[in-house]
Amino acid sequence: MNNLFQPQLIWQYLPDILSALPVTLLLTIVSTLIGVIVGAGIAFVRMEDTPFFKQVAIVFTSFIRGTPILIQMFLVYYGLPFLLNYIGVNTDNVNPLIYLFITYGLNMAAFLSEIIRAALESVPATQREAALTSGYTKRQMYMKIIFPQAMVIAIPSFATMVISLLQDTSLAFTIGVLDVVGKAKALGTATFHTVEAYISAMIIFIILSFILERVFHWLEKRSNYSSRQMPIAATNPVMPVIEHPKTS
Amino acid sequence: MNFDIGFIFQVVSQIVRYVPVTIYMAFVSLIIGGALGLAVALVRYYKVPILSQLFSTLITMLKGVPLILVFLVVFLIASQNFNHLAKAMGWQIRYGDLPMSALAIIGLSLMAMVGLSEAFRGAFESVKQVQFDAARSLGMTKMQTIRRVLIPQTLPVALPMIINMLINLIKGTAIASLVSVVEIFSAATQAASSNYKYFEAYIAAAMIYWLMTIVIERGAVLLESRMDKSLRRS
Repeated sequence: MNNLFQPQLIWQYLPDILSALPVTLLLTIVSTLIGVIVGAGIAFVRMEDTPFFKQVAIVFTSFIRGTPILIQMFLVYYGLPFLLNYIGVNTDNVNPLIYLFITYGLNMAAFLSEIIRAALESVPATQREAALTSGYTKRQMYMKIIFPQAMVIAIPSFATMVISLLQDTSLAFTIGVLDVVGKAKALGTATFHTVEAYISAMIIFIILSFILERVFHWLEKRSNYSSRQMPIAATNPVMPVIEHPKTS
Repeated sequence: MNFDIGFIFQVVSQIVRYVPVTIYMAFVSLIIGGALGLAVALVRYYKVPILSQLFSTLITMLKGVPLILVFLVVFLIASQNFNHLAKAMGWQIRYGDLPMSALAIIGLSLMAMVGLSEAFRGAFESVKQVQFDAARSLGMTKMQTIRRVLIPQTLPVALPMIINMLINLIKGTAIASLVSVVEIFSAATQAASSNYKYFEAYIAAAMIYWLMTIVIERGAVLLESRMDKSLRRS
């Protein structure tokens, strides 16, 4: 019987599975970038009370937060070609990664928009008034007063989101992308030692999450240090960390 | 291929009967995970030697593991070994007879345990140290302090995070369908497999999940406002 559990295979599989790590990292990084840009847009639209767009933003955020990411992924995977074919665009040769970037990017955007909004709102309104009365333009007010303080406040929640995004990317294999889990699955199917391959993938995810957590922790410490030297920022009430631990 | 709105309603009526399965899996996992999470949080709060370090390492590790990998490993191990175990123990039951939702609950409970233990740990901090001194001066034992002082004050603080976890668990059940649990998501896939109208079917599934989340969120708001009132009265 050759499918007994063999612990040493976990280590043997690691290098092979690590070869798929760039796909997982690429998914995480590109989706985070899309999420930050679109999320900032959504937060802006909601804060400035832009009519119509605000309602769209509210419904969009609620939908993303209320449905599993697996469903969102399949909606994009089946829905986008459907819509594009409708207007006559051929989608036969589209790399499935593109669908994943869109899914994870929009998912991140919805969650990040809440974090960005909360962080921007945590900067006291008196500071806006003070900036505007001192002759700052709105743009200067955002760039020089609001953003630097809001960014520091948003770091912990942002870190939680990036780490859960990393874990969500593990679902990419369901539409045939060879990420860490997909590679482990392929390797396991070929050798009949699937459990060992998945444990290998688990180890990779544990280490990656740990590294990300440390990096953000370091960033947080560093930014707290620099804000302590700015008396204005230091007197701000510190906003409680909004945790959005989400799975999928 | 045309967009078929009628089919969306047809799928909704087909898959709506799997809503109880989803809610059952989410609630049972929330209760098991909540109990385990509370135990872990208490052990870490009171810094019980050895156990505390062990749990802390365990939670750090589990935090990094995606739910799908937990599911895959639990199901593989169960499918490969359950029959041997059953034979060795003399049980009549075989792997094929096991309810798949029970295996999914193992994975979901682990996820709930990790999230809720952190939530409880955070909420414990909201109880001031003087209250422990007061409880001790009244002659309460440690267990009494936990039961009558710590937990009653922790629950309202942790409630938003518990609700959040419930929503996450409901969303997590969709992932369980990847490992042969029949629920909303796999029922939608099944419904579309005959005519390839996957887009419509997944819209139907999304609507159901969305509605469930909205109902839970509304319920949570009501519950929280009631709790606030009862707290203010005391």
